[in-house]
Amino acid sequence: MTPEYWQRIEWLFESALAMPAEARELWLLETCAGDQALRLRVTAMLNGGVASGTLEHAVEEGHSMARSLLESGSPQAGVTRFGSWLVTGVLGKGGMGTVYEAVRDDGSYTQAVALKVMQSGLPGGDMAIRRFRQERNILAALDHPDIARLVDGGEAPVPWLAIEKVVGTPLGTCAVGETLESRLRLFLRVCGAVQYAHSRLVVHRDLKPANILVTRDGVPKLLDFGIAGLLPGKQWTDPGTSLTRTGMMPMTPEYASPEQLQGEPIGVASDVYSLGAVLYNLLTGQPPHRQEGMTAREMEAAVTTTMPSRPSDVASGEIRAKLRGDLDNIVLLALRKEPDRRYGSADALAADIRRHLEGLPVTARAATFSYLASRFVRRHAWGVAAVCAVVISLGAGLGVAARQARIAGERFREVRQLANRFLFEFDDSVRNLPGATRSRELVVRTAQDYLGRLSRDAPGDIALTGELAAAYARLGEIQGYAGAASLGRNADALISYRRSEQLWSEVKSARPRDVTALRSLASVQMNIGLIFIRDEHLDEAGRYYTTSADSWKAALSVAPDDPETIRQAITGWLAIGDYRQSVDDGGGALDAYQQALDFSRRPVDKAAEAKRRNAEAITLSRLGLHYSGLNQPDKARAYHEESLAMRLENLKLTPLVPATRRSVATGYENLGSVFDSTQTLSLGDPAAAEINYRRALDLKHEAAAADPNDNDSRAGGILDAMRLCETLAVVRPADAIPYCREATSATTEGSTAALKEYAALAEIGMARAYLALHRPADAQAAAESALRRLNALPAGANLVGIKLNRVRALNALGSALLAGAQPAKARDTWRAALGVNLGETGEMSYRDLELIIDISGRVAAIDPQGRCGYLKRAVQAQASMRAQNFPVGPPVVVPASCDSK
Amino acid sequence: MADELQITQLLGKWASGERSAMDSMAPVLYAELRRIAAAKLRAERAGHTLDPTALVNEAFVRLLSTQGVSWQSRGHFFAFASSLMRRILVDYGRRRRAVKRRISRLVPDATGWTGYRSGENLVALDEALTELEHGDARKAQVIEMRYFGGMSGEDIAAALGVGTATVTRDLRVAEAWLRSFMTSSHGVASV
Repeated sequence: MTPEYWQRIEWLFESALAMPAEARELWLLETCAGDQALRLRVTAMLNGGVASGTLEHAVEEGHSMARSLLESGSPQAGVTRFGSWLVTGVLGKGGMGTVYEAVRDDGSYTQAVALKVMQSGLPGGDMAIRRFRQERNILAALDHPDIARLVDGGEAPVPWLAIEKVVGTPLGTCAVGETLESRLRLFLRVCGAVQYAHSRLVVHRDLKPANILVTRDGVPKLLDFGIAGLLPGKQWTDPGTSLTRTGMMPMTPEYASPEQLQGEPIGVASDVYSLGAVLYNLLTGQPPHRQEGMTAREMEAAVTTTMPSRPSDVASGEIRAKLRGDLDNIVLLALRKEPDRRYGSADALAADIRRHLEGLPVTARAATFSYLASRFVRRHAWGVAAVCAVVISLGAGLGVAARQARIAGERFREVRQLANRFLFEFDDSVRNLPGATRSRELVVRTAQDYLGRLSRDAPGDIALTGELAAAYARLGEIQGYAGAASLGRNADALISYRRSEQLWSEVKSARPRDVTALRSLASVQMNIGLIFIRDEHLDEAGRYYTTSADSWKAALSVAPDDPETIRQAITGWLAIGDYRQSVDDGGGALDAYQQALDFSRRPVDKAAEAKRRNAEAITLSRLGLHYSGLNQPDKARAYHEESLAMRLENLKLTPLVPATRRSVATGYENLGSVFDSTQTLSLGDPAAAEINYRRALDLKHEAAAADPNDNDSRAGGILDAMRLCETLAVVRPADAIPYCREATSATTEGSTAALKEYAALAEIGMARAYLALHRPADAQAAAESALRRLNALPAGANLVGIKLNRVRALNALGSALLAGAQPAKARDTWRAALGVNLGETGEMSYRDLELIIDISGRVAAIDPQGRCGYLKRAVQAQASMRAQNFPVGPPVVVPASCDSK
Repeated sequence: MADELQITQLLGKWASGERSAMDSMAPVLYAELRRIAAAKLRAERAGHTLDPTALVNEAFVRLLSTQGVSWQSRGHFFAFASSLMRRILVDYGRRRRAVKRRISRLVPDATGWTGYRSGENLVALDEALTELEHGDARKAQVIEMRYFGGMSGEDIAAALGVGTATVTRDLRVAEAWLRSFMTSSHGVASV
């Protein structure tokens, strides 16, 4: 486009926009003075609403690409191994990075850890790295049963820490139903852990229920020393980590001390305050100062200025009475605004609670006579209750009596059976139901959760590990299967598949000759490869496909004659071949297809013969398509013929199975395409193409007649009719037209984009047939209708194919116009066709180039002024055909007169 | 991380019209950019989706300020960022499209391709934009800043030193033309 041309467009557009809508058309007709292309362009611009969507799609696509590029750019993408730890899941995400679940993967033993990985690219990266290392140093110095232990750590590829993985619930979440005493005892242990940290000169600074998990055994574990600070002391010499730095703010103000929120220096007293707040929550079910609808800022103001309500006023139920008095006072003393008026240490707080439990006077209360007296009475009452509690808990603790062990064993089996039944029987029965995906995921997740728990109870049970592995694979399938009914969550699927892979590997190391494990491993690896393909990580995908190939080999070497293994391995090799084909590794693809072929030819027993033959037929078709792609139609034909023969054999065995019928139809279609000159590089035998397509069409008619719900056959018939229409259009136009009609008449508003495209192609064929019959007006109408159909296709559809087909439709339209004695219009149409940029990626296909040469020749013949340019374009196109080793027709010659200018 | 001095020099070259400087800068800057933007993207709250291209732009500002790169004018910088984003996204879109085409051509019924976002529309936009550049470079740049830089009309106006009304008009006519060009096959003959 020249600037002058653009200025004209812009002027016309702006002027037309300024006038009343109904006046625009006439004005444009006058003003454009015969330049129809210009007028059409501006009209289209003014009616932008009609064609809206394209630009929006592009923008949306841009955003989605940006997002996926950015997401794939996270440092953890692709990295699944830190030291000898293999990432198996995500536990959570925090401001500093992500916490993964990981297992030891050096073959020695399996231990789950929480793997904290520093997020790179944080603002102030150096500072973040220093903090991360500090957490590691701090954790390394702490060794206490109630503090999550540092297990391992490293720097590559980014700093990471492996911390003992704690399975439990935040302190206080399960408090309801627990006695007051057991809650207090639990809290005492927390105090002990905090006191221990303080004694190592470490202040936690972020104590809150979420950081204190209680395991199933009732053990509290202190987590997350991520913003911990160090008290001054000779053992810590790094000046960058003194306690006076207060830049690290906790996420929630509810448990933070007033001095912390005000950014003042903090020490032991700050942790004492937080312990008080945690205790408050443990006793009342809510943190101090909590009110409905309070903002974080209001909360901060409350923490720094007002005293919280007494716990006994906030709690509900009979516990209120027990809180009134001592516990109210203990909690409120810990929560004093002034740091130096709180308990001097976690130990002091613990000591007072202990005194309360023993009925002794607490320091949090002034000693008055009545107070001391009431203490004495309650001490004895408590004594009785405490003894009862111990007896009960002993009974529970020693409850592994023989009878109970047997019950436990039975229960174990029951749960396991139920989980597996859910996982496979139930899921299999609903998997094809529309809209079942989300419930399937829920069911499978639940089953997997149960199996996971059982597996933790029985760590050595390899069969159970296998069941769990299968559960993860199934979960991954549901999450990642991107068919119509998928949730389309690649990342989740990847995690599930990887977990499955890892579990199957465990089974494999325990039982190296377990065929199911080897087979499942291969198939999971392939699925991971497929996910990576969808995510564009072709290298990673390639690695998994290679591993999967090795696993198939291993499975086959263990069970060379197992029909199920062979059957699955064939599918595997086909997928590997398809992958290699897609990355232009033709040799590798051939190799994989050949492997599949070899296995598909292994003799099997009679019952499995039909399946075997089907596999062989599919493999032969792949080889046929492979050679079609290599422009070797002769070889392709041989494979397709052999494949068709196999399919026909099967039809004899099971004539009534619709799938078999469809399979034969596919065989005919593949073979037909080898002769079809409208397809890429064929043997060019329209009669042979017709016979094969015709048979495919007949089979689909039969299938559709037998089952009115068989939409696949119906749609397939349209494809066949369209192909017949195209093939016969030039050689036997009168015979072609009924097929063209069949293909166009079958589509409706609600048809899929593919079917609508077939209809458009059939109309292009129809236009060519009418041209051959010397009916230019009908040809023009058909070509115009085809263009309309193509233009109406949704923008998200395959734009490249549509572009090529638009050019084909324009070409047909040009020919129709010329035949109808409208040479000027024909010239403009062909020019427009040549203006469509087909080779945006520099890789024009045979059909693109063929079309350009064809159109250039036609327009050169009727446009003397542009003649040299068109011929040169044709010569260029022929040159690129030669460069790609395509057969080239008679060379186009540019007359010498063209170069004289 | 690349040598800071080198980046400053390259940006200077680019600003003074040496477009090939982008080739040397793109991979380095983009790697940095992506790390920053990815961090922001992960920090996004649910239900509050940021426009990733705007996000990238923001990350870019941050990147340049941490690198200590000085700019004579904001305009140069935004033009550069938008242009770089366009290139990165379109290249990526091309790659995706190529992969999809290769696979779907081979295995038409391959499962796992529904919902796959290939870059066809994006590439079409890029082509249309290239065509527009021949006719009116500023309008193409306005579109680039809007769609690839995620910039607001006011920001574009400030960056280009024109009024917001001009930007609005530019956007209106350029969008209308792009829409019609991308949808119709009546491209101008370029023989």
